Amino acid sequence: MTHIYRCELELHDTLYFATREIGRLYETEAIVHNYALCYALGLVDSDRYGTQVSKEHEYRYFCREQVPMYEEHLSKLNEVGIYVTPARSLQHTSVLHTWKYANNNYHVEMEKTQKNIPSFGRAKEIAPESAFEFFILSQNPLPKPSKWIRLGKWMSKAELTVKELDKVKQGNGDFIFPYPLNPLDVMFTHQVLSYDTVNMPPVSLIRNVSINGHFYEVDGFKIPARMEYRFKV
Amino acid sequence: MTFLKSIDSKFFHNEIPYKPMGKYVHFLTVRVTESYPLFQTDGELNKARVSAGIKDENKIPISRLAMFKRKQSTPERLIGRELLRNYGFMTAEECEYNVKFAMNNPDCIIYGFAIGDSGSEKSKVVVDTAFSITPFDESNENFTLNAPYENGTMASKGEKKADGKLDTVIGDTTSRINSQDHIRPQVFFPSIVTLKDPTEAGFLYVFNNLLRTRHYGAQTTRTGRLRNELIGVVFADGEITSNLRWTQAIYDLIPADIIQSIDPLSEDLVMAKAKEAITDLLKEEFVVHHDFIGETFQPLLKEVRAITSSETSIQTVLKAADDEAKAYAVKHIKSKVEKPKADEKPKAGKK
Repeated sequence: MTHIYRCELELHDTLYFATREIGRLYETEAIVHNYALCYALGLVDSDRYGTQVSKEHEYRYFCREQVPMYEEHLSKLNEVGIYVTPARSLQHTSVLHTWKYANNNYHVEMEKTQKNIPSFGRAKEIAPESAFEFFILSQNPLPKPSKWIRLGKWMSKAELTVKELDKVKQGNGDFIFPYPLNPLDVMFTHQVLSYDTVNMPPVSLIRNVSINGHFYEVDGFKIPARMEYRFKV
Repeated sequence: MTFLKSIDSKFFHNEIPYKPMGKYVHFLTVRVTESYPLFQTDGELNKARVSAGIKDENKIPISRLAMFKRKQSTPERLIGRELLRNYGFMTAEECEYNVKFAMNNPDCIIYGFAIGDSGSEKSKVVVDTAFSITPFDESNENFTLNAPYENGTMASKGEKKADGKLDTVIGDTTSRINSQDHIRPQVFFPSIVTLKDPTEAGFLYVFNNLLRTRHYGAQTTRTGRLRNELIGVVFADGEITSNLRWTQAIYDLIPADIIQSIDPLSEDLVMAKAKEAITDLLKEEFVVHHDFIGETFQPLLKEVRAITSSETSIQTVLKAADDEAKAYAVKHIKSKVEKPKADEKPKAGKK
């Protein structure tokens, strides 16, 4: 029996991650990727959820390389039957901020730039009190997740409220899912008929998806079933 | 070695762990402006539009001054680095903030670093944006700035620049005039500083930075004086409430006529309400937490003040923190950096 949790996130700080980079402008799209949510929720490499990864891939304070290991990390979630959907915005506003590196010297002289690292830029961030919604599908009842999680590049605090949906029915057929989905996770099990694309790394998302296949139904709301993290075609 | 007698050593690790272990210490501070600081990025003060309070009748949106996280943590880590250099635990050459990280001192390990090809250390100190209790329009003031000539006027009387040329045509007024919004004194920013997986020396290192940092905001101005009033620490196994929620809870507790008056808030009132608000909010958390707030915090604060204000004991703390950082670096950073290098042939064209 699959448990479906409807989760709501309220931002308590500005949220920033680079969905796209336009010169020195870094833009945050008001959608939280499902990979990011798995990490933020503490589902990755966790004793609590039974998703420990092998020693060479484990989460450490010190990271040798800036190479993401989505496959090594998220495949463990498939084993325990946990799936998180991307989060859509319920309401949000954006703000523009400029950031720059601080300098610690008493005397500063302008030098020619030697490295191609921007020392300042503008970031479009999502403002505090914006709200997001996503779903967690789990084979087993989930232990209560923490009330406060941190998201994005600046580790912004967000309040999480989780509510389990009851009277879940199953079905099969054509339906429309208006919220964002990760296409890789759904295209092997379902027939995706039409969609809008949301460009974002590492895997662009789709929304307003017209889809055929198995679904769960709660109060007339249908959500694709059998989704899992897939990385290779 | 243990430094503190007033709290149990079970709250600390014996060495810096390489993985998050779920020990958290939250420093509860109320940051109080004592002169006219500037927190700005685009030529105007940083502000955020958020609900005034949590209570239904206070759910109206107001603009608050915002003190971004980096504007809080950077001056604090710079104070720590100053001390490390002063007592000879690092030199300005081997480790320079945002330029070259030595990767083996308390600042690098506790506050983190990121260097493209040498890896990154995640920060164990997490700070959130702090919001002023009072609305923006009551918390700022506009000043005109100018750079007058030595005779005290803005009109040129034939002053010469270094190269001997006239500064401007005699009789002309210089354009060195501007106006700038400043944050008023006695504006309060409740802010929780979270330290993950502390050792005792690491805890004292961060505590000391908080107590000593006196200037925040634009570094080229000399007006950013700000005092950190610590009202407590909370040891927990997870995250606790946010700065925004805490600020809104304090707003709710302050009588409406006081908050709406144009006078600055009284510090005693704010501190009392801050303690009351956080105590209430902590009751709603579902993490295990041990609180040292108000009266119970005083013995610890006294002890920390005694340690950090004596030259010998602050050196012992820094030494312990430095030893731990070095041990961590050797175990988890250095050994792995050097290994592949030994096997690898030097690449052509690379220094």
